[in-house]
Amino acid sequence: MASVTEISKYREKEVLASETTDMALFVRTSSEAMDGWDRGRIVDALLRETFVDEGTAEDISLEVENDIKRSGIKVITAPLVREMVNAKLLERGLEGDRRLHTRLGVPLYDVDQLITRPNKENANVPHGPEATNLTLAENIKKEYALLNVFDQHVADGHMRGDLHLHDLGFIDRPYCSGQSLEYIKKFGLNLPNSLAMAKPAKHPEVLLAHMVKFAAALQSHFAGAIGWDAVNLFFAPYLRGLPQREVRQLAQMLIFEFSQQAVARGGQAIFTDINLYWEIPKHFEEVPAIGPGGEFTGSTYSDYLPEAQNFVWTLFDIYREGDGVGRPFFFPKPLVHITEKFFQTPGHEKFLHHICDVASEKGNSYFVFDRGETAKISECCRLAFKLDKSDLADATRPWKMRYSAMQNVTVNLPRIAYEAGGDDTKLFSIITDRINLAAEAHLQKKQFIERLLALGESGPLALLTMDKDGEPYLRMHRVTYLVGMVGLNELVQYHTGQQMHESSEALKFGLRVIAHMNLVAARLGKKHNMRFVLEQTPAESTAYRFAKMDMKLFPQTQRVVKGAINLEEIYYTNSTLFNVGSQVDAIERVKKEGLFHPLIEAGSLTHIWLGESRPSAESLANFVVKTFQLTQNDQIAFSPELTTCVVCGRTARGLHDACLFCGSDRVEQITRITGYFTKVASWNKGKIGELKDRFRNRAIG
Amino acid sequence: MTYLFTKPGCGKCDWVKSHVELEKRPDVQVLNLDGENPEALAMLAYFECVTLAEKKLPILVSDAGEVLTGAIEVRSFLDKVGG
Ligand SMILES: [Zn+2]
Repeated sequence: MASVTEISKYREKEVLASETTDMALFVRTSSEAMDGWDRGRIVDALLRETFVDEGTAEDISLEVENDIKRSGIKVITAPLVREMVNAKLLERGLEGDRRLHTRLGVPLYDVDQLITRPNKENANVPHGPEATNLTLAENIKKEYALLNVFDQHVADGHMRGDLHLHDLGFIDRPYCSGQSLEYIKKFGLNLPNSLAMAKPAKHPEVLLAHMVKFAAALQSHFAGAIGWDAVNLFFAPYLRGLPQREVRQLAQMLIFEFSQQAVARGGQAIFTDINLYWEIPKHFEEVPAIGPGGEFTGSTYSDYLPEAQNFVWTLFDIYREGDGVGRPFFFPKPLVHITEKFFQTPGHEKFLHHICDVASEKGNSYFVFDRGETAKISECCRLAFKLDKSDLADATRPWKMRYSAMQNVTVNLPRIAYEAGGDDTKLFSIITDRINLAAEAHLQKKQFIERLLALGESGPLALLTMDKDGEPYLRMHRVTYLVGMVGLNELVQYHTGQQMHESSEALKFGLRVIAHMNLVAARLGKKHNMRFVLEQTPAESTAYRFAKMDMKLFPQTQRVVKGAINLEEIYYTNSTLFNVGSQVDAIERVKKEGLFHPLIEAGSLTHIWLGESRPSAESLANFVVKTFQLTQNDQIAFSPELTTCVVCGRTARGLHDACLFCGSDRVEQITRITGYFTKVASWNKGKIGELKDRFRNRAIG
Repeated sequence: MTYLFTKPGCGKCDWVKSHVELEKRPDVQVLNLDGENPEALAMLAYFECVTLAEKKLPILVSDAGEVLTGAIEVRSFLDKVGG
């Protein structure tokens, strides 16, 4: 259908010739044909899109037509006509109708910038035609979200920087997903709208192919990370009797497949996490194993310990070698669960040594601590789905175990301290208000996604409605709604005069803020029957965005903001972390940052920045054991810094401006940004500021 | 300062409260984990007892940082220190 917004050209020659009302404007229709000027289309659009009456629509169209005639404009574009109509709506005080009549789009200048310059909001997005497609689409969906999904109250909160609604460009998808290989092992790969249906895999490499394709399909339905539970264990029934050479080949394929998926959505690698276990997790011990062809093998998973252990060991052999030039693999991120049972499982010392060696050499290993009866699936930068009783009951049918977070909303904490002006009561009351606002945002996103899901098989989220096991793939009853935080350290610093690492009083105050957030979220969860849980926001760009906005609006920001103000490399400290530059001993940092972790159900992480040092595997292993036994910390990762030379292909430790081997300045510096490895050249200014400040713990143990 | 963490509806907590005259004990701060008390939850986290409190209450954290659970242990500790 022709659209009035698609008026594209105004032929100068014909305009000059026209003295009457038959304006020679041409309208480009959506079928890419050219139609003549028709004032009626303005009327049609107003009646279709807004609540104005026919008389008003007629009047506006006549006024716009006259304005165009009088102005002698040489070239008329679609956005221009719409802007003129919008101006008429505003003149009449019809602000609501103007809003409905908004045209979403991107200014020419911005498109040019996008196509010709790299996007630095997310270091996982490379620069290329696919990436710019993604960014352009995201820009329009962002505007759509702020106008049409969230109400003005919530949208204004985001625009003001009181809070941050994450991944607005992916408004029509849930945030992230963690699942089990058992689903595709049992049901094969049979995706809605796909041309061919694949039966359950009979061979390990076919299972891997299904896993990769399914991950890509999920990536197009979720904004963020795709996590897989107990990958080594669920592959194990396919590995029985396989020669080691083939196991190694499979391990290599798995890692390379996920690390080279930069051909997927927007040229972005799939943000993949694989959860790994040395032991058979307690909740899977007696579960009947599914093997080739989707059939039960007749054994339980306990019987597959040797295959599962060999596979996880071999995966870390591959991580240790790195890619073709010895760089660490960025994805998939290996998350090893350290549990009570881990320490009771023979061979754990050697395995811990092995993964610590990889941690020191390449930094890949993440250590996830499940103490006591805790069990969880981890993914994204630190997100974890803590399994409750009903989930553990699901473990008997592991294909059911799929968890999703709907949305992440992050609260700008330092701003609250500026607004409270040192008054405790005011501070906590504003925090409550902001979490209420975050909850409103969650409710609105939930309603929107439910609308899309209700369209079922013919809707955009058909994949998430498929119900091969009797319930939709996206299990809404098990969805969590994340409330994140940025800059606790700066809130505490402004409010109490000390940073959290500087005194136990400041630390206790920080804990009080997070305890308050925890209780308010729980209260709202009960009220709305939704799982609101706190998460340490990775805040790759949010920590920079909030700091920049506050610098403009609140002069107090200068007193606590981190980074180099003169270079605009400013940031707030991520989530509940301590000042990254504070010279705190590694174990003390892990212990004290870990005090917050039990209050943050959806996951936390402490970084240990190694810099160019390469501690021994023994000392890291000791450190991991101490962390498990003596702290409450949820997850740790050791991050080395590396420089790879584009010319000679060699990799050196530390961040250098030139290659240590051949002297070339064509080098790529690599280290961990928030929760994953990437090239420093792609980092935003705030994160560059943080990198300069990071205190490297050279002595570990 | 000694901290005693309790919860409404916790029988063992009530038992300790009925057997020790806590109102006469300025050296003991009772922190009630009633879902409305961030101060209590924050202190519980500070002493690394959040997970423990999901299973066992009351919890006593002594001046020296020693953690005790179990109604009888908590009471006898309080009697000993108070006496
Ligand atoms: Zn070189």
